[in-house]
Amino acid sequence: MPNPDEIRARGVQQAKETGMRLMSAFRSIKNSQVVEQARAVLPHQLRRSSVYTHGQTDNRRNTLSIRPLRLPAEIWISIFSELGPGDITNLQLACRNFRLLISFNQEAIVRGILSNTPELQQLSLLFPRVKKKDEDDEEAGKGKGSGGIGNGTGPGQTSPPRPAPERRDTGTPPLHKLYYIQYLHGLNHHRQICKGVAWYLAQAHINSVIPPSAPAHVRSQRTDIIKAFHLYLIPRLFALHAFLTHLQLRLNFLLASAALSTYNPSSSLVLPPDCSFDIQRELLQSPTFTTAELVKTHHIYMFLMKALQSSLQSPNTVQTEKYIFAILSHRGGLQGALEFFTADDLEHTQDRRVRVKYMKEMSKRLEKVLDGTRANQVWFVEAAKEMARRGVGNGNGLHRKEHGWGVGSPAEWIPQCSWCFQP
Amino acid sequence: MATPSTQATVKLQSNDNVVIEVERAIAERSVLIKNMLEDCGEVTDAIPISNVNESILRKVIEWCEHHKNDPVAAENENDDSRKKTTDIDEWDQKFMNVDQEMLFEIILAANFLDIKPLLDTGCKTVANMIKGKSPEEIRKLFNIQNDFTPEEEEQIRRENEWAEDR
Repeated sequence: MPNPDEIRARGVQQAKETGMRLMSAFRSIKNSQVVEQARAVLPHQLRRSSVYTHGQTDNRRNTLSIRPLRLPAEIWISIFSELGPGDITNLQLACRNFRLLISFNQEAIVRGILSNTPELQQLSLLFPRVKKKDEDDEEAGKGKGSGGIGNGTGPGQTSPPRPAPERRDTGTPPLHKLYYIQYLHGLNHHRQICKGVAWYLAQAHINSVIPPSAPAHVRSQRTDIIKAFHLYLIPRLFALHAFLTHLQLRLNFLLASAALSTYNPSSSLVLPPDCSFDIQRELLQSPTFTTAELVKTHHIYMFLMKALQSSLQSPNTVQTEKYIFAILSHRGGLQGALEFFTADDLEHTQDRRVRVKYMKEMSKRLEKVLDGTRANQVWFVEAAKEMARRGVGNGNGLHRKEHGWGVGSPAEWIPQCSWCFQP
Repeated sequence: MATPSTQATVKLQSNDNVVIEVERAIAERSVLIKNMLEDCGEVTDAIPISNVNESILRKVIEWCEHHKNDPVAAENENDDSRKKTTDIDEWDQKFMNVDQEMLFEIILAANFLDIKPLLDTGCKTVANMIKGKSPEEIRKLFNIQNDFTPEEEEQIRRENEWAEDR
């Protein structure tokens, strides 16, 4: 029978030997060339910062080894920041390493993409990221009410994305999960809607000022002019799209709060006008609508109305107004207008089913629109008051210098109002 | 504290022990070398660039020579002033027109030597290579295997489905 003390002593000895072997192995790894190389490719910010020297690393960024992809994570994040949302999705599907890399660094990638894409950045200010209840984030609380149409008006809305502030102690941005890839897709969705509407508006406008009988040298430039005008229109539609979207969301919220038994999102704009006007006034007085933005959005809305009226070509004014109202309240923001233009574009709508489906939906929608509803209930009444209040109105519900969109000489192809030239 | 040096050239030693002599102004496009020279003053010995081999070091020097008169960007320069992805200088596009292995080595060298404009150009070049490519094309581009199980792939597709359909 072995002595228990001997067994214990032998165990201790074995543990010591194992420990020594482990220590020796660890030393050889620590001094190996691989580790040296890994250290060398760490970005200088990390090498210099106290994070690295104190041995506390940002786990989300640096523990992820992407050896098969040959570049360190920080560099991949910079590369991804130059891409669009669709490319990010394709990368996630390419391999596990990319998928992990993107999942662990969503915040940094989304911020990078937003700072590299002015259009998405502009939209992120108009559609601030809505904080969920379970996201306990100090930064979210700080940013409340700092910008954006809906900011400070709805529950839990957060600041627009700006580069994350650096911590003084570590030199690394604080970790907060505010901006996900899904949020980026959402912004991109808004951008696509505005791009689509802008394209149809640009075409409609240029078609009206460059008739087929125009001189050949003018007609040859038509495509370039449409492209240039399209690019001009896109960012100018953002505020209008955001205004209509937020208006609809707020009205939906009111309807839901009132627990109406016949709650139906598509009938959201059919509310007592006073209620809608109050919300519109509040939105127009939000920080988004500076005087320049207010005038620009007013002009672009007038342009959109003209294009819709021109497409409908109905002699019945009341019916036209009702139809336009139905189009604008059909979907969120400008999506209804985009669907209308898409279905109306006979030249490009090859599929007749698109048109038939749209007409069916619109017929249903029209039944729900009140007889007396006028299109100017959205935007124009309150915008006129707001312009008058700011001293830029002409007293008749219009801006002092309205555009002659789509008529007259080529000089009127571009806006006449100085506000509209402001970036 | 070291006194400011007036030496005209510096020697750089690659990790395969090749010494290359370059103008100090060109070498100072690298923030790492610039800081080192400022800290050490006159340096007669070759500065070891331990992570960069001769061919890559020569490429980096070539880039620095071409861009030696470019204004040096401030450390906390506003991101808005950065050029867009498609706006890579024509000379830089030709410079970056190398095989993928070398491109990645240049990026790593730029990162190590702290040459931000070169790093940015390299990142933009890789981004332009990825843009508009399908997952399969990306795999081919980087010579990587699809290591997802069919179930995983389906799950990822389902996660992103809503974004495509909207």
